[in-house]
Amino acid sequence: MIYLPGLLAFILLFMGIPVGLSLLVSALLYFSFMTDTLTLVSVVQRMISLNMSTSLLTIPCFLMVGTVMNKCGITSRLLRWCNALVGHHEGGLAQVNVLLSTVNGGMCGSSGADAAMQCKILVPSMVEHGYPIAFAAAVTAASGLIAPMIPPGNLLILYSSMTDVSVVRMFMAGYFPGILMCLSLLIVVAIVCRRNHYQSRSARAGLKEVLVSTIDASWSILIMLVLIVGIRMGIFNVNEGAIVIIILCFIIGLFVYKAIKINEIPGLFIETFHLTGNIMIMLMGSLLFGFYLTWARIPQDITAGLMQITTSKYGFMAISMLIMLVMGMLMDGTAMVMIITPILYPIAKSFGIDLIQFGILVILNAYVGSITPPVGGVMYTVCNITKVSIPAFFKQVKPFIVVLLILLVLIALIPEISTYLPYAVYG
Amino acid sequence: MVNKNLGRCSDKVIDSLGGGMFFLMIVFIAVNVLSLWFTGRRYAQLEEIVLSGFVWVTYISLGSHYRKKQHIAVDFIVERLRPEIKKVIEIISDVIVFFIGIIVLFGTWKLLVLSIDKFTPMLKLRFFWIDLGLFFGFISLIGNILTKYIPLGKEEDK
Repeated sequence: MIYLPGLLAFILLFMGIPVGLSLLVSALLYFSFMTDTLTLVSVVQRMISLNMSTSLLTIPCFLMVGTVMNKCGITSRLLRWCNALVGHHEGGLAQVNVLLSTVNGGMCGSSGADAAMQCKILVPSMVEHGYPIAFAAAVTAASGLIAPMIPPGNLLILYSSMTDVSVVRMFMAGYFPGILMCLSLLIVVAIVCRRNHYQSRSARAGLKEVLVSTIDASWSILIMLVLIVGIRMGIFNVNEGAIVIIILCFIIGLFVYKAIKINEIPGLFIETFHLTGNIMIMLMGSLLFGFYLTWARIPQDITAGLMQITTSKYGFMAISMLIMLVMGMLMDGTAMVMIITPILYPIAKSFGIDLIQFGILVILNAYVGSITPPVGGVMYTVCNITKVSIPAFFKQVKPFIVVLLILLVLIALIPEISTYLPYAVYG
Repeated sequence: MVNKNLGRCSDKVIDSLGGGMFFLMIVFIAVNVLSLWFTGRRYAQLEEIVLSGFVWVTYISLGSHYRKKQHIAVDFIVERLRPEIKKVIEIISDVIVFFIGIIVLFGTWKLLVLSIDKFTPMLKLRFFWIDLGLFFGFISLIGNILTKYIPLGKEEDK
């Protein structure tokens, strides 16, 4: 009987009810009708007290950073810079696509949104340079998966706010896997482009061109450096870092790049307010759903059940990765992380898995699933925008999926890939 | 027509209220950061306002996002169904969300009554004003569902 609300959550999800509300409905059903150990007022109060947390403020702060960076011309300058650096290679623009996702650091909150942005910026010019549109779409979708892994990716923040892993540790944990993803995708792009003779720039960008684009993007590069170095050196904490970046972006966007006008600023706040409302409802639903699971002692039951199948942590990881991959194929990555984390996190803890490593696995799994048919969220977003058919997209995205799956297995087998940096830096 | 105008009007109110609150949140966080750096002082009062505003920012747009289908949802199955089945599922979903909205509203109402004489530690702000954000959010959710099915005013002559 106690499993009924959990089951209901999945039914409601697939009925198309928003993720946050589906989770909220099932948790409230449990607390209102199936247990008398907690009053409705206490549950409602929890919906407010969970929200009044300083650590959750990181979410609106970094959503604001993402919005402001896009509007202030920071992203477009980073694109030009990447193009000057690697545009001369075989498949130059495809390489730029991958590199831009890496340096941009995934601030859209969802890989779908990130891929959608790159679709609009890069795919048209890739097609102009002779790339098949299906390949351009596949590269964009696959490279979009790097962004949430590179700090300050919002999924890293969301995972940390749902668990007791500190956000700075999650940031540090994202670097190696993110860079490995970038390198492996660059290799795949190079091989595919070489084999098919896709676009190559006629000449390497001259030193002058590289210098000009570097100087042009210097403020954008500086902003990323300020954030990374500032947090690493303890000059500011995560929220303070976000505020510093917002202020810097506004100054640069208004007075240096002149990319926005004063009267456009209120619109940025309204846009981010809506984004925040959307993500926070999902988070509140997820936290309350997690509260129901804990209250009903469901993770303990699942752990006991799993222990009968396997007692090895690698066995558990294999099972959970399979579940997450399938779920990632069926829903948006952010939504999947919200749903799966409260269920699997306590179990991973009881199996003695490093929770930082587990977080990285959850995030990567969610996103690999999202470029895989039948219904990967990112795949649909990219195919919708580029008007590429699913079979044509899948044909092109296959090598990327294979490489990402190999990476996933490596991260599961070698915890140091995700845990070395956070422990080396923060002990 | 009236429904549409009502929707547009409530969107404007929510945009102004939410956008304004969000702006103040960012400004107050910035003030605290700068103040800590330059004067070594952090204002707990500002933090309290920020966290109170955060509750409003989270819930205030609930109804408007639900009406405009802006929430993240898993809709790939529903999208593939025949329009009439899709419509039935949409109605069932609305009914479920409506009833859960009523339950939350009932709980929030009880909480509001309890919190009227409870105060925050720093600013001595009544918790009532914070909890009202949740109440407002779910009222707007219920209102948006109701106006979807109950036409207000007369349809314009075509």
